[in-house]
Amino acid sequence: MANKDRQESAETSGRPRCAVVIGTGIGGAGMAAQLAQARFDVTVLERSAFAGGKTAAYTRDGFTMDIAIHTSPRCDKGPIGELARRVHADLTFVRKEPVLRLILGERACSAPMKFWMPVPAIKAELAFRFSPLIAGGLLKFGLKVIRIKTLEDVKPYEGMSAAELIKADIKDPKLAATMDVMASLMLVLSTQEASAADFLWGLANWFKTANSGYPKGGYARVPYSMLEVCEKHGGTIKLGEEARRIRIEGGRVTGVETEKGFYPADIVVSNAGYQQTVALAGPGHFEKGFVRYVDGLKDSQGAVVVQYALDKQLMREMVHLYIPDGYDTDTFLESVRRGHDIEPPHLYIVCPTALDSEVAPPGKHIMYAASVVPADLAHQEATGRVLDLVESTMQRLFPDLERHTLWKVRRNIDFFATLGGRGAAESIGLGQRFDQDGKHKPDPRLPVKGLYVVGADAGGTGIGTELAADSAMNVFDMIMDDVSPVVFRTGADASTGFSSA
Amino acid sequence: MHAQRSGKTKSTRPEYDVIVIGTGMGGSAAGAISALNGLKTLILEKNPTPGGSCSYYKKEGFHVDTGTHLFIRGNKGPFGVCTRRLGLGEPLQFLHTDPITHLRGFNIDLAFPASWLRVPLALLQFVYQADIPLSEYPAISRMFMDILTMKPARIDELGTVSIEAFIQSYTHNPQVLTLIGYLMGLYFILPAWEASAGESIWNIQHMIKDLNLGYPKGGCVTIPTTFLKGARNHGAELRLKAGVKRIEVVNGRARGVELENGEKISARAVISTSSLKDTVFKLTGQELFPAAYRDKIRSVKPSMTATQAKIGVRKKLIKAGSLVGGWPIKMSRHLNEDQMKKNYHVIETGHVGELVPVYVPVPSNYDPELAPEGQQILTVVAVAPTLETDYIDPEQVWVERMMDAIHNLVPGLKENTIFCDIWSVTTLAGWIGKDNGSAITTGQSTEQVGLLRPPHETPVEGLFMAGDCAGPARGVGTELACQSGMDCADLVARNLKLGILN
Repeated sequence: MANKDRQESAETSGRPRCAVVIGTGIGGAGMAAQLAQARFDVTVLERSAFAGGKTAAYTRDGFTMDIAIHTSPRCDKGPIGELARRVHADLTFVRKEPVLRLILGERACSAPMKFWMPVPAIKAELAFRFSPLIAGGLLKFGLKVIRIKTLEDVKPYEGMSAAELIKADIKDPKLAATMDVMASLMLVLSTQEASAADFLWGLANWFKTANSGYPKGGYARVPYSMLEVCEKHGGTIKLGEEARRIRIEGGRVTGVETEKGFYPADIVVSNAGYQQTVALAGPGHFEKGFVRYVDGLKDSQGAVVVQYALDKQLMREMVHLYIPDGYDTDTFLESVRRGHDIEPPHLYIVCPTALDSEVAPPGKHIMYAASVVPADLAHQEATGRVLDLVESTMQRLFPDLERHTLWKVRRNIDFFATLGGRGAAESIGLGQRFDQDGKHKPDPRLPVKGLYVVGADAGGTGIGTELAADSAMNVFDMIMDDVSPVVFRTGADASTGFSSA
Repeated sequence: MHAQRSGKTKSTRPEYDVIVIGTGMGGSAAGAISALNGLKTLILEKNPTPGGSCSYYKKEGFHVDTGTHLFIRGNKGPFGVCTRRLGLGEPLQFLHTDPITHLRGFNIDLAFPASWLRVPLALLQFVYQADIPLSEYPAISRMFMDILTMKPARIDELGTVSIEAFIQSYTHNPQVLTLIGYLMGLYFILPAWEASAGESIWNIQHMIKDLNLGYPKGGCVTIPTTFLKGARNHGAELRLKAGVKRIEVVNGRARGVELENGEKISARAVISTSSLKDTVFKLTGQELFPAAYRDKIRSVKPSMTATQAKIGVRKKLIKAGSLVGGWPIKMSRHLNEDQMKKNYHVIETGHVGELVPVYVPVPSNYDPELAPEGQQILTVVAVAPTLETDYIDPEQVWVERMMDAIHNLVPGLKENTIFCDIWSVTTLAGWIGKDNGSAITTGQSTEQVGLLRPPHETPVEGLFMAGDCAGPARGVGTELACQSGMDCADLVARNLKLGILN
């Protein structure tokens, strides 16, 4: 419904419901869309000149480039699809099989993303000559994955690292390396740091849904389609305006200050990061124990990316995963921190034009290549050398690469630090680590009334951008339960559900 | 920050675009779709919990439905349409049971299996117990084949033909007429000679096509509360314990409502999901309607209703998803169909009949979480007339007859009863806010199907009716009400946006 209709309809007569959303990443954009649709007066503050945060886009020479590198594990069947449906967003996905090509050392194999089917498993076995002894371990592990249906099912794995989980079943080093890279891809953490519960949950949903793909028009369509919904319902988006302070009086939010002015709000939802939000509010408003807990939260690792604009298609599949012989993420990260004798990186290579040709001019193609790296800016020089290694590895994997490259862009961790606004180059906000999973995950409701955190940092489960979308829906539901005079419950407790108003 | 108020006072600008009265199936769907259409919507419910006859309460660890329902189309019917339109996908999960139902009555005592393999055996048992002469089989088979393959045009034609007349076009066998007539009319709580054949055939076709006779996980209440959640997502407001005393009409135009507590709320349109009679005579004031409309409303025939019992049972005594039939089970072998009719006529005059028709969905057989482990919740109905009939036998007698019937139909029930909540017709009437306590306020009789049903619009501009009372929707009660609610909300939205209603 157009803005005009909204103004012509009855004015608000009851409690005014103003909301300010800080940040236009997927979490913030999705939240803004839902709040605006629910008739909140929404103002969105984005500190950059462009919207979308880590899922923004830029155009150059007719190419629509993702600012970083993303693929969607579940597309319309996952949280991004569910969120888009909730707000009737203009967002579609493209997908085709096979999605993934796995390159282990010198051998490669393309298989549909349906590892529960015997055919791809056999293909992989033939290609990689896995030792027959691994069959039992892989089966055991696979069964664990298949059994995961609800969040309850991953509870027994909380507090355990993914490394422990994998080691229990998988002995073959090549397979272990593959699992290690899976964890690094999904959670941007080494398996020693990653939460086994989050790893299993992500893996189970990803493979059982078997619906990986890419948003049509580029990954930025995810946040942008949400922001379109927000504007359609009368919301305002302020680009280039940074939140300076979240004002709190009497234990509840009253609004957000920027350099340009003050925005009163009943609800403030921040996509700026958990620690950043506490800082914006002022640690003095929280108990010391809480502030200590928040300060102790650790980010995920980061990534470096090389982006190529090509005049020829060099990849048929959406994703290539290259794992050098003997690769191990923990060892690799250590070598980068050391700063010398950097190990060969694994590469996560994405070709969006293999799915959606319209993100590039006719006949042209795009490839993104990334490696995980430490997020700490102190290692910037070393990660710069990792970028060199990414380029040289790409050249080896694709001998025609240089010939067909129109231009390329290198993104080092300083770029991602600026993008994230957190002082470090983390890829997925607060890490889904074994020591901050389950009950130790941060609560999206902050101890101040009306203040919430949304995005990868809190409120959701899943992988990367889907984690953020899941958070947007869950935190919106929490806000509505808190704000609305009547709580809607489907089933169990009528007695606790309704106010005595 | 939102736009500053203009100099206009509150009274010149309606506070809402639409007020919806009621959060039953019709009201919750109407409110949700109204909000989805971008209208500022307020949904008012007089009870402390939403859902109307699809509400619930908790007792001793049981989830107890306030009504008595099963559903035939699951997500393939209007419920799925509504949740998908609201952007919620299909969150409602409709569960099934095996056996599907246990038929105990009319000389039959048999369980209907869900697996296709066991159906032929069940059918043989049925035919044997019902003692239908061999000579009737061809006609009966033909009838069922015709029902399953009937084209929509013919179904429409049969809308105004009674179930009894339809069956009689194939056979006059009294057993068939009694039994099949009862089962086909069960959807409508109307006897076979009043209920619409076309409506019944439509339901049967969908029930078999969608193979979805089921019950939602979490209880009936999940359906209206899911709609209300969608309504909330689109900015609707809901107020519970907010009964409407009057619908305000100024210069022939509905302007809003006055609540029981005296508070007045203005709107551009009002959708009532109470009954036509309650809305016209109680909430608005009959003098505001033309005489012809008033007479039409008075002549609207409601479905019958029922006394209900909610029984928490220590053991699982019923294995099927429901029990349907009547007590006594045994009827005269060569049953004269007049006996059935006579029984109904007796009931309709306010006396308990000799035969007590009974219908008992067992929600915990569909969703075990609705009862404590190993225990069972029964939602019992025994047909009773609406409060428009003078009850000659007091309600207590009706209740006793119902309890007698159910204790006989379910051996062991008495000893294993943990609690038994009785819902008399009066209790139901009070809960759903419809003075006559009818189950489906505009019954799906032969004169009240499809386009013959009262329209959503009323002679009062801006006042609309939705739910089981109005609109050309079809299906079983709850699904009809949901469809009607959506249709009415879309109609109101169109009228408001096109400026037909300003």
